[in-house]
Amino acid sequence: MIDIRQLLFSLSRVLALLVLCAAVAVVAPAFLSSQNLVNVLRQASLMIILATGLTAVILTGGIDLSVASLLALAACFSGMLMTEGIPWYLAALAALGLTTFCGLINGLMIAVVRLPAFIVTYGMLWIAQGFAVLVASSEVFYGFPPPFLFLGRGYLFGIPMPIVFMTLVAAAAWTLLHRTPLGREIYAMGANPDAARLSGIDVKTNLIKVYTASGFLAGLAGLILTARMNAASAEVSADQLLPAVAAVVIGGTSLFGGEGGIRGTVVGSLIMTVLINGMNLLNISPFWQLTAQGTVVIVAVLLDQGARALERRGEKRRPKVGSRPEASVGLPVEPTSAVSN
Amino acid sequence: MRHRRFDYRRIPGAAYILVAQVIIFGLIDGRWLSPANLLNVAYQMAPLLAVSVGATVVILTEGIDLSPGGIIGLAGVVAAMVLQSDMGIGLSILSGLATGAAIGALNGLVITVGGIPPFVATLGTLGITQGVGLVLTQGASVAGLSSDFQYIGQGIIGLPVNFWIALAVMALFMVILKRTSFGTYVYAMGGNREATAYAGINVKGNLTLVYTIGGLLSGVAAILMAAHDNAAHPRFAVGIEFDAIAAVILGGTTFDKGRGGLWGTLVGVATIAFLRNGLNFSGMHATWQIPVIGIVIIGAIAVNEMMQRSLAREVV
Repeated sequence: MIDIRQLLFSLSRVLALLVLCAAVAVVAPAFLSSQNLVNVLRQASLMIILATGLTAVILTGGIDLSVASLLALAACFSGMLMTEGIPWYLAALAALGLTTFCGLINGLMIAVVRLPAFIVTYGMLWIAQGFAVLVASSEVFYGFPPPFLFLGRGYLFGIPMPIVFMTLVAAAAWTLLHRTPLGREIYAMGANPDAARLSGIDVKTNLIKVYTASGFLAGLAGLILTARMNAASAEVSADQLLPAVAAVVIGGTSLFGGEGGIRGTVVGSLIMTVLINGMNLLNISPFWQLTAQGTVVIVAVLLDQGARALERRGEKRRPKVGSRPEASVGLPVEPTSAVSN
Repeated sequence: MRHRRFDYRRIPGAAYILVAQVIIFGLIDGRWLSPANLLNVAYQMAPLLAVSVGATVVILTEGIDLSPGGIIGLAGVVAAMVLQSDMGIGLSILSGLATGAAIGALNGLVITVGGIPPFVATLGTLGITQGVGLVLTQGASVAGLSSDFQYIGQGIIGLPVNFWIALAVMALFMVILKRTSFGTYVYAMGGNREATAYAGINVKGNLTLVYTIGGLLSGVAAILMAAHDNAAHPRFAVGIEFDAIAAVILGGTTFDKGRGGLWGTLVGVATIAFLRNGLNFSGMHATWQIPVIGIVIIGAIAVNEMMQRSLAREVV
């Protein structure tokens, strides 16, 4: 049976996207030029890849604050290696390996040492950022070999490569989350960590997998960005974290875990990209954009909480498995590690 | 009441690191322990101590505040701009503190009334405050502050004036945490928030106050930093929240059960300040320091956490 309310809930985001596009098109007609639209899609592809890993993490009730810095690390590390004359595919693999390893460390610290996710990944944010600055030593790498540039600038059957990557990543993530036991377990862990653990789910291993995947996807996004720009510097990470978190939240994935998914993240990423693109077209100072992004994150979560409160009011009779008593009292719940006991 | 007996795991992790540092950096270069350098460390410690006192209160409630780096930037810029428009030092300090407290209150309201996880709410205000600060200054520094203002950050009465101020703030909050009902509520909210609410304590109001204090103390740190640097910039404190969180955790305040306190935080702050100063002193290049410090801190937090957990398993 189709849940009408849920259908409306997800359609409301698509509607918001369309309204936003129309609004941007009115104030900045250049938005509708085919060149700009393709540009928006390319831009959104990167955000979707970054936000896909983040979505999986947030679904478990965790958070990965390090994704943007890992993206910068992959960019700088691959850029440095290629500038040193290492073949592009080895450089790309090494960079992917490095960020995947960082994700693995995140996962181990969270699942095994059981530190709160926001502490570990916030630490990783500074570590990765530090290494990116160190590797780049404040220079900008540029002029990469054509086969590498193909990853960001090329076309496959007329489709820009970033969009190809994005489609693959999103499809794989969707399949994983909705068609495999791991996916169900991720939702279960986020909805109720204790119940998940008690019902025999290997919470530790799953957490490690999710954070490792997030590191890998951040690295992939970094490589594609580097190829698209044909340049890499440590500066790229600064403006990526807030929009990525906002994209996931706007997409309807609950920061308390267990609710949401990739489809929402795709729409959320498009909304954020159109918003940023619109601000760029209107020549709004990047300083204001930072303010706007911070506001969007908070307002998006507030709206999301409000919508959920309304939804809860509608289904008081049948309490959901994952609903938490604290949330209904309106007290903030600390979605720390999903294995708290 | 908890009975305390000696156990090596009860000593905050920071104390071990501090001792190790004194030995290592002292061996590398004896001048590291010279009065001149210790004075230098005290200067550097002061703003971090003020922020960390706020972070301790927040973390005791099982919360987190990622916004100090942004709040300090904005509050510092506001205070410096007020000072430069000849409105007097009193008004300047007041405006800096008020800016911090206002944003802290905003954090608190978004978290308690909006029901948003603290790390997202404060991540949002981190962006907002940085953005507003950059808009106000067009990305430039506000430099050249009056000499009486500079005295706050550069003067010496035995120890640096800014260090005395930070110590006074710490002492004040020690009294508040231990001797007022608000202090008890802070520990209670971290220990068991639901039970606290059922006990009839106004959790939302008290929690909002906690984040307001966090913002206010970021405002204090902003004044200390601007006075020391003789300038303010929206990004001049970026990342300080990470040092503060690290200092608090290494100082033995835990993320659950509302355990810990300010003595440990003082040791934690000293540890971080000595670490940064020691790496500078040992001639490590600045670009190396960021990742090295990050790894040391996260590693130390992990070891500390495992020690605390093995302790918790024994003492039920």
